[in-house]
Amino acid sequence: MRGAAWIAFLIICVVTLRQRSVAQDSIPGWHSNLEEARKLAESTGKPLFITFRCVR
Amino acid sequence: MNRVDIARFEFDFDTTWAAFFTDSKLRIYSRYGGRDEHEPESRLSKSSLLQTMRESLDAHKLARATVTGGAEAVPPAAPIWHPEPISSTTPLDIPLLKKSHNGCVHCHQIREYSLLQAYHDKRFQREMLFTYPLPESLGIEVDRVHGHRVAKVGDGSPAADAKLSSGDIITRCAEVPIRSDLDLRWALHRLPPTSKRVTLLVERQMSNLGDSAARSTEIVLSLPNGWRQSELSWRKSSRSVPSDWGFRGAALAKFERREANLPESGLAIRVLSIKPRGFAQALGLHKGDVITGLAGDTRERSLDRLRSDMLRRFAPGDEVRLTVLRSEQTLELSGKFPAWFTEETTVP
Repeated sequence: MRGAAWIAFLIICVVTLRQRSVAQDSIPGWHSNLEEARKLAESTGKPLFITFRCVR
Repeated sequence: MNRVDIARFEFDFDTTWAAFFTDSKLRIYSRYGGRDEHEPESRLSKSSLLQTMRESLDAHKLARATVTGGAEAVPPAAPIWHPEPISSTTPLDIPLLKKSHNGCVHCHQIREYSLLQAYHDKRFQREMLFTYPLPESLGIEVDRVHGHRVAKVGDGSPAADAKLSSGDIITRCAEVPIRSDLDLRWALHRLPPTSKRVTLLVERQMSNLGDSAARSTEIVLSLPNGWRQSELSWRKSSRSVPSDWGFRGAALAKFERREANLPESGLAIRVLSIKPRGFAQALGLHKGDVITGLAGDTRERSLDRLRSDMLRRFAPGDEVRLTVLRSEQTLELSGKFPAWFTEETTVP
């Protein structure tokens, strides 16, 4: 349950293809801008889950 | 990856996926991911990811409680975060990459350009090829369901000598808190090249104290020669190893083996072309030769795996011996392993 809560609240995703970034920005809790996500984490006290995925 | 701080977000850049658990200051609780020569996801599992998430959340709560001085404010016994990098760096800080590469930088290119830069700077050493060592090389087989619990200890291994036991949960390696398999590999990866031993902190179940009782125990492992080495054939970055092998080749199919009167299994790689002035020409290899042995080792392998084995076994100047089949005659060819050198300034 806590893992699911983690995914729901605290996610950012750094991807290299722009279209994927745009698509993921539309999912609640996912971000493609690290600085924005970091500021959000700072204000909410939540941790971050950051992923790097090669999409070549 | 162009502007990513790869000193902070350091992972095995030959892999195609990695995750980090951090606080808002980007201090890292855990790394998750990594692969080996088997299937790309063979070291990953949903259960081990959830385990790492749970432990990272616990660490985050502990860190916040410590900062705010709450009731749970107890100084932790093990470090909470992974050690911080001394400074930040991006792929564009690699001069050859900055000069030669246009567009998006892929993960594997970071490693390829790092190696290429090391060759050009004349500071390359073979050990640079062997990143993110496998715990298995020290006799530690990790439970893939949990992520950092010891499933099995290899007989006669450094782990067995240090009395590590199956069921032990590794919670620290050197100064790195361990919450995943990749944490353990990163901790081993960053040990100085001259390290002769490493200290692990493990949680060990104490059956005489009840089912839930565990005790922290320090274990000191010796690091034998060559302990960092692992199979390289799966690593995309190894395609840029610039030693001039000077030949192309391919493993023989079954019908080709029959035609050549070779056994159904065993090493059999046909040389398809030879490049002038390369290692292959210096050895005396000819187009059409079938390589059937490397220094007496006749195990069946692909060309990539044969290259990986050569990189693991030989350094520049070492004598290399190949057994080849040429016109139904078996020949022994030998020559010096070539120098680490290339004039290439880009990677494919």
